[in-house]
Amino acid sequence: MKKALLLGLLAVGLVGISTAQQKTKKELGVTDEEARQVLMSSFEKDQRFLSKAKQDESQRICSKYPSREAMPAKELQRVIDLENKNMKYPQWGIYWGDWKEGEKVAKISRGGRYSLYHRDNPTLKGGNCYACHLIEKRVPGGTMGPQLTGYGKRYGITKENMNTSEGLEKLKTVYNIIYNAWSVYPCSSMPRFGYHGVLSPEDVMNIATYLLHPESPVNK
Amino acid sequence: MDLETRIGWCLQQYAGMTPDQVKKFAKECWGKRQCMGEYDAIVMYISMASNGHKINVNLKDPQVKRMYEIGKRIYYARMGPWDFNCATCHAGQKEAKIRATRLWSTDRPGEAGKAVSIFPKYLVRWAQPMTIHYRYAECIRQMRWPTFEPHSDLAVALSTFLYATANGTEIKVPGIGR
Repeated sequence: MKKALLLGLLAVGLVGISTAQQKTKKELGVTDEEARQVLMSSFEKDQRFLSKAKQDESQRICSKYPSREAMPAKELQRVIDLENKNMKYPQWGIYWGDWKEGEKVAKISRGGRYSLYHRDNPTLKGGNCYACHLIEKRVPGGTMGPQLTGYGKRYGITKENMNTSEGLEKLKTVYNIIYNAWSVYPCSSMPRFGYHGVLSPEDVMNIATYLLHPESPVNK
Repeated sequence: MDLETRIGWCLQQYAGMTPDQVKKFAKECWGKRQCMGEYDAIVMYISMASNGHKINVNLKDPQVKRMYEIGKRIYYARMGPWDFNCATCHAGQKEAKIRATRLWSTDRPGEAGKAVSIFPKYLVRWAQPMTIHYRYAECIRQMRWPTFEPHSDLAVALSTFLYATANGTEIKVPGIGR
């Protein structure tokens, strides 16, 4: 028991710290550095994927609070400001993409997994949208995020108005949410798919089209 | 140490295994179907000896409390290419489902207990038992974090945090899961 505890202490780099200092540290609770040490020592030593364990500034801010409701307005605004700098749009700006392609990417649940003990394919792309959202009628989905059935219809997008400036503004709003959810909903549970490169701007355009296009099964 | 790291420690002390051999032994059935490993059998046998007892993590011990705090800190650490942390799915008051699976939450009383007090559990989809370290590995894989190593400090931190949250729940092993 003692040996393993000692090994444990070594692993988190506490060797050399005197008992007095250790006591103070315990009174103050655990430091970020200690937690980070434990985390990084516990992953497979595969250099190709260890870089995925980085934490950017917005993630650091969000990690300080258990939920968005617990966050002060200043921190929320800071995340929104940071994320608004991280927007990228397709080469041709906002346009109605291919909802069939968007449907395909939205439905893939295995995208972005890369463990070796499972036969994962790290280059597979997919948003796994149905994990958290109900999108098409009668297709099983999760309830972590808001229901998106009939999204385009509810948003008032029709064949007649879809190419007006208002229609394209609505399309851009949804694009922004999918590309970088934190620019609109800071510290949301929703991953920042575009910012992290999980989905390309064109993929995001297609998914936004899937959600809003009058011909899409989402709106039928 | 949690149960599995304790077994790992004993294997090193008395069965002459190296830490790497212990990890390989623990991972024997990972990613497989219908695999009945000796490691899973040992964990199952020892866990079942506690059936009927209540989970009782002693948070007054400073080492245990420290691991609890580290586990809690990591539980809420947003990280990785999908910005996930454990709390994304397993905290908060809102009752939600991921696809068709109801999610338990550490913030709703009793739910964490129901989730951990039945490990190791039989997993129907892979027709084999699953220990809690394998479950951590699978969660972490779905979170798109780097691959988890069993018998690591993270495992101990998470176990301490989750089982302490579940203090008082009666142990009922083996459970069954999808």
